[in-house]
Amino acid sequence: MSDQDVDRLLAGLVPPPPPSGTRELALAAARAAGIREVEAEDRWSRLWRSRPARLAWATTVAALLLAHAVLTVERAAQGGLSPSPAPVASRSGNDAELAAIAELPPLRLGLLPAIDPFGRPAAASSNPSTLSSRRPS
Amino acid sequence: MTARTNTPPRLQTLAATAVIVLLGGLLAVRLMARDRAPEAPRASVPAPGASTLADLEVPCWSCPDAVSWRIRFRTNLDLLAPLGNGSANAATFFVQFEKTVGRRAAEAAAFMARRTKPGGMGDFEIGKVVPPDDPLLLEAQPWVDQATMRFYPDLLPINGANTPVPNLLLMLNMARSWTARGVAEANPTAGLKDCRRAIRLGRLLRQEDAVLISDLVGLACIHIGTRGVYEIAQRTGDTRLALLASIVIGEVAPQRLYTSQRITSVSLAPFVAKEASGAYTLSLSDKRLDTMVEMATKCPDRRFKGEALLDLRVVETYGTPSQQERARTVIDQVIAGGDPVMATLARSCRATRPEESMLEQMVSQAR
Repeated sequence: MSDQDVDRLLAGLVPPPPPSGTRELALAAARAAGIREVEAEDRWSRLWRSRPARLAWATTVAALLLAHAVLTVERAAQGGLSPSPAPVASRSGNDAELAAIAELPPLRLGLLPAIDPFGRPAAASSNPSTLSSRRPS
Repeated sequence: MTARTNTPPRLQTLAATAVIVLLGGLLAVRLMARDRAPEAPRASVPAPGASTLADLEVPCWSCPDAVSWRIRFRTNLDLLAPLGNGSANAATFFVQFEKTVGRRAAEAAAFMARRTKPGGMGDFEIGKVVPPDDPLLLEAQPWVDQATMRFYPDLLPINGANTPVPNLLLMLNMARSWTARGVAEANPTAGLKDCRRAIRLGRLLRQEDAVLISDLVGLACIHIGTRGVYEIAQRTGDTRLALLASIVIGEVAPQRLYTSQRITSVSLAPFVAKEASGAYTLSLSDKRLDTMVEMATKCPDRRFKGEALLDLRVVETYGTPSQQERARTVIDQVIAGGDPVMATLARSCRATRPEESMLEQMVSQAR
């Protein structure tokens, strides 16, 4: 095959040229895309820098933190205070059922063998109660 | 043209939004958790310990040695009704029914209104109980399978003589209802299970040893449940179990009497008077003060330390100057001690004056 034959064959392989005006269309599309990206970036920047948006965010966060604090304090104060004033008897209040269990008869020590509550028993005392002189024997 | 991602303003805005979403989500979870009743974790109760008749001894509560004993059952209650192994604090359930501020106080009142009078157990009147399938009774059951019950100071505050107590009447009636159900049950194994439930509630109530009335109600629950065990043991001819139950029942009255004796030994009622002017006076013997100091500092049962501290508060206000000083020293000693519950109680005693109602009650007791 001669060089002229090779050139003639290769000439058939040259790609066809693009349609007219393609270059202008491509550049225009690229320009438009670039503008949209800049606009999108501006939206985020605008939002980030917006004072009303920042104020709304801060208020929302403060309100949520306050709600959490209230829940925490409420949980800590769950038990509250009962109005019952004194040990044993008055804790049973007006409830007869509880009073039957909680109210204990006083044991007059003078009428029992003298017992030290912490382990030193003594002989029985023949004396009457040695409590306050106000109390009749 | 290259794509641009994660621009700083966008990332910051999204991060700020995430903070709000996180806080709001957490708040929603906490609100839902607050309104949801606590659930008891799964737990099991071991079988009662094995014992032979030869192992069972009858504690001598009338012997001189008994004065130094802790006011607790000498018989090993694990032979009768061992505690469960649940990991939750049973108090988280029962605190909900506290009468004044409990979230479910109304349900407790409704429970009490549902009681009807059942038959007794022999000579032992069990009183009014709820029906066997009462929903609150069933709901409470897994909670008495837990190993611990602690109210103070996390669930109920310690505030001197105004320290609130849980709804003891509710718990007492639950113990009664379980026992009545157990005794009425045809299957003795199921019946014993219910009676042991009542005993476990009593053991849990006595565990904390912080407030006297809670301990007395716990003792009553153990008494009631053990009576039920005794009834069932008699019916089935289980002599060993009947003996064990009768020994435990025999320890109830001595504990109540020794409790009474200890409280009487530090009672200020005989020494408090109200003058015509309305002022209160205290004529306290030093011997009585010695007893109070010893109980506040050395008593092996914590609940009596608390009672003595409350009385020392009165001495700190109304005693002679030397008595006031001594009371103050003891209260400060307890504050500095290693028991946080007693220290908190002692601090509240230092911070408040004795209530007039408390003094009035002492005066009326002395009459």
